[in-house]
Amino acid sequence: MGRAEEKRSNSFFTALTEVIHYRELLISLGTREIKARYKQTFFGIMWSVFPALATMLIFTFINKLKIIDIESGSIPYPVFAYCGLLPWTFFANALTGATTSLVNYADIINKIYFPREIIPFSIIVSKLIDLFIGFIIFALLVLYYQVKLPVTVVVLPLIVLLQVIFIAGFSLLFSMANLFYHDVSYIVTVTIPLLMFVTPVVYPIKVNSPQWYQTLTILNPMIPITDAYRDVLLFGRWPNLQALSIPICLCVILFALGLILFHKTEHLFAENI
Amino acid sequence: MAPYGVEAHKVWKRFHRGERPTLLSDVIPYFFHRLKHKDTSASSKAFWVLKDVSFQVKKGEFLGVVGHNGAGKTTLLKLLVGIMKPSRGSLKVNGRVSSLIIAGAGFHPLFTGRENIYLNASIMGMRKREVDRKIDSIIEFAAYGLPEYKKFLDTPLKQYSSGMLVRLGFAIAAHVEPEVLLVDEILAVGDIGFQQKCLDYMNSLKKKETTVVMVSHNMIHIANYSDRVILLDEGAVVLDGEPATVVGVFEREMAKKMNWVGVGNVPANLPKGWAALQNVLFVAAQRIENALYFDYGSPFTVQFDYNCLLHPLDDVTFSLSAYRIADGYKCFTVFSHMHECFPRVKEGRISLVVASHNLLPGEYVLDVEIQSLRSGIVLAVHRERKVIIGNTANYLSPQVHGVYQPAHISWSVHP
Repeated sequence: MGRAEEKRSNSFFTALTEVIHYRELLISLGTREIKARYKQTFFGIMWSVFPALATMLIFTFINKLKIIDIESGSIPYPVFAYCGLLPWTFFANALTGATTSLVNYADIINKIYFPREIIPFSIIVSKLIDLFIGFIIFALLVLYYQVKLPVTVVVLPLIVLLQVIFIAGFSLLFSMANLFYHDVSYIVTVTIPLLMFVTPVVYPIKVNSPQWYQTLTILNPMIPITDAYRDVLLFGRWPNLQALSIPICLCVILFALGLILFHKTEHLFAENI
Repeated sequence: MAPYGVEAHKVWKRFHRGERPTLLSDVIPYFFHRLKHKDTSASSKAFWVLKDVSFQVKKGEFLGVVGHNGAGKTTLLKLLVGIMKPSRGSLKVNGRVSSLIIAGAGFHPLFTGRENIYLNASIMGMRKREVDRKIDSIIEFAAYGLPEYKKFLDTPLKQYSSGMLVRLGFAIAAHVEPEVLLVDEILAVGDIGFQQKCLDYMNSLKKKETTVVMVSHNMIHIANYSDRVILLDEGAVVLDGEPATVVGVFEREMAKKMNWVGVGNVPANLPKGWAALQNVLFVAAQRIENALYFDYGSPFTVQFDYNCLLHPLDDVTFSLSAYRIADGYKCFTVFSHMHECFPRVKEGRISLVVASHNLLPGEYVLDVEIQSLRSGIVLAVHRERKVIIGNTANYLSPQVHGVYQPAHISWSVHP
């Protein structure tokens, strides 16, 4: 290992150790985010699931009316759509929230020291809690439509973990970019909904899709991730490791790079915010 | 065991204010602009906030930092906390650091007092177990002198008054127990009773041998608590030494700067005719060359004409202030509105009778001013730059020192 690489790995582990050291703060900020969102609201925590449910209902409706024609095979379409919407909502909300998080915490950044990674990570924690509530609703849907939950559900935590690593890497990079250039958050808010249409969230991926789409699959880790969710939750298939191998590598590298870059530029945050 | 709590070695810090584009759409034009104007180097809009700052604070020592606004004190603290890195040089802090730069960081108005204690404490670096152990003590601290405060702990913070908020913030910060504490102008907050509690806490820090670096404009606190004081001026350490010496020098500098202000009778930036003082007379004083001369203990009268053509009459008060020239110390201010004297017409004459000023012999500056009641802004001022209070009757023994002599006192012996 050359000296430059040694320094890099040191940075990574220092950053990671610091974050773990402040894990209690991570959890408290995350839960505070969620509690604060729903204080003084009538429906409270149910607001976490309404958007995904509403999207699912709209697509079910237009599917039934044959305005669009989506075949979900043996799985009832509402369950199929909702299963795809769970990871998507988590991704969209977490990334959007994390991008603006550093700027929102400006006064704390200017006054108190703790590893700044905690801030975007705490947003991910709070959206993770939303995801768990989504899973409960999913379980209710599954019961209602009498769909059998396959045994492959046991690997779901690993898939969630992969998604968290993926989101974390991007969150670090985007939140940092937004701190220096405030229009990054606008770019993110506009791009994400568009991205949803090219990702098979509410529609299944066709086996004989064109070559350029196959290449796109590599660039958009949400495609294999959404597929993995559906595989383990609905189809009883073990996750396709071949399809996931490149995204896994990409996510881990992105996370490592993001953490190192973030850690090295942290000291510039206070004067540039 | 490192002997030093805090060390700064040749620290320089530069800021590039206003130079960087903040939108992606500006980045390319900015890049071209920089290429075109190669002669205006990057440092043209950058400035050095700290220059070659070096000092050492022994473990358990209390360092005071004084200086004018913008001298670099807060930046120094931010570098010590670790929020920023120096452009050159190095800083070392040995031990767990905490800062009293902000009280109540992360306070959320919708959460209860108790919930906010946990949140704020965790932001300040305390673990949940630690907070569980200390929560009762924190509540006692915040409720000092105010037993009803405890009832508020389960109500949302938005129902707290600002005084109750600072109590809570300070109470939590006081329980962090760092090895090195950085304080920025937040030494004592709240009502008088609570301020005393804050100062008690400061004393307890000394007993616990906490290393403290404190920035303050309150010279009394700095002089009382510091073991050493450094004076920062425009980013450089100008003086480093005994509290009394450094504070004295700083106050003299401030007094000197004050004397340059208010040349003439009216502050330069007020429109003419707003309010003015004329024909200021000090009756029963002698004018010898440029100085006004009073004798110790003798009464005097100040008389002047005023006009307030534009300023509303109900917002006007007159005042007489005295400053000691030796250290710029403000001895007193008396206001007309506190003695039932209110102007009724736009132009008139005011007289102030001072039966006993009680100031000790020495050299003073006397200011006669018209001020706005609501904002305290000085509308017009007449400054007597040299007022000598003499001791012609040799009435006072040379052992008498201080600011003034109290009047109407009597000593008696009870054998």
